[in-house]
Amino acid sequence: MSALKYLSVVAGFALLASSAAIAQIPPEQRVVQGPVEEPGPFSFFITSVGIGNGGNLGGLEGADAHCQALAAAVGAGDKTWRAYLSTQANNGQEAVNARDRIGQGPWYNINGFRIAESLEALHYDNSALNYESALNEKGEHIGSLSMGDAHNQKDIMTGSAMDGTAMDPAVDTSCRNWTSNDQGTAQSGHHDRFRWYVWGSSWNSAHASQGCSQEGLNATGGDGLFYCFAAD
Amino acid sequence: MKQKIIMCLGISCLFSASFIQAQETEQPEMGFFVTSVNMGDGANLGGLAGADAHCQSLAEAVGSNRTWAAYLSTQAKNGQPAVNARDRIGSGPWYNVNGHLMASNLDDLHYNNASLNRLYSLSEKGEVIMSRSLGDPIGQHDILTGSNLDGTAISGDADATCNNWTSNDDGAAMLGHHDRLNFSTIGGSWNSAHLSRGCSPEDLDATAGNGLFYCFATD
Repeated sequence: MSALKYLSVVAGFALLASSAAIAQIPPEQRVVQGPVEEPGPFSFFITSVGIGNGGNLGGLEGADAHCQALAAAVGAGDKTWRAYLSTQANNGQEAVNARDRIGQGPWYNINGFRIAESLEALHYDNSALNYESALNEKGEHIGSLSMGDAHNQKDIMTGSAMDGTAMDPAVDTSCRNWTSNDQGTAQSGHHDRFRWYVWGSSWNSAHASQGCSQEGLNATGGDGLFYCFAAD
Repeated sequence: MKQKIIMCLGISCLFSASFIQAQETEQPEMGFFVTSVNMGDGANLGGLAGADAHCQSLAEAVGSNRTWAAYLSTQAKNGQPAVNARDRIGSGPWYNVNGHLMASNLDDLHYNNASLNRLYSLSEKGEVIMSRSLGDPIGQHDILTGSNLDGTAISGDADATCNNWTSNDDGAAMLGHHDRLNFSTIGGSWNSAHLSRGCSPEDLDATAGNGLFYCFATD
């Protein structure tokens, strides 16, 4: 056996071993919907595609317009859609908190599954928000290596602290208030709720990206996606 | 180029194997559990001191020598100020008996808490706390907390702590759902889901509770 062939076999085993280690959502966190719970109106999704320019979303307005356009494309354009993104106090501008932008809830995914009842439930409980329920506007899963997908999109940009508020402006965590595609970082959450292959990550504030370029977002497992909520 | 990629896979495989081994040999000490048994008198726990002692003795029985506190609030009453559960449990991180990270810190515990569920919120012996919605024969999913979602005491005159954990009949206790289910739908708070019907063992049992509570290592 040549060295190359031998290494191929080792690599093959490594891949097998890692696929055997594909994470499992705890059964109690899966989408379970009993007969007591009526499906609700579509009011939550993760963008199926990013804007394509890294952390430059054209500010909050650009991000909101992206949410609105994606929702409209699936027939839900009659609602007011808002991106779950914070901006930081900067150049005399006051900070904007993501949690103050999205209405009061309850919010449901495209299948009518309830993501959260209220702002309090979204931030203190959020047990219903995970890979299975946090779908895009078309009802598709968002890529997660931990869940066995080929493409990682799990870093969802928020620019927010765990309570949904803006972060300290001393460090840029909002890609220059969503106008930068190079300098800065984007604080991101994990829609699949995994830290690598271990369950238990924050949906909205897990870590910062490595930069604001599309490549910088990709480097830590992101694709420039963000959460959209119907505010009305 | 192809060879280079394959070599990297082989090496990263070695690295990850040694990483997994290191994790196995250095399992963090237990810092979180749900009491395996209740105290036998409904929501009368002998106050916070009695509840803490219960945590401590259950932990010591499985070989822990850490300092333990119950995750329970008390309400302002008879000139005594309220006590917040979140202020009693140290600052984390807290791991369950199997070394799974339950929460890194108080913020993570209250705003994330994805790990608090039937799979990981185990007793000090590593046993599952029963959830009827998930097919267990009995329901123990109501966990006593007396707390708001943020881990603070509940204000106002209405009892939410069974008279500061001294009543086994009148009153009510705020409860969380360790299985994170609201009936059979996901989306139940771990620490503040609803009030009990009363404070007796029967009242707790009526909504699928067994007088169990969360214990955290404070050190």
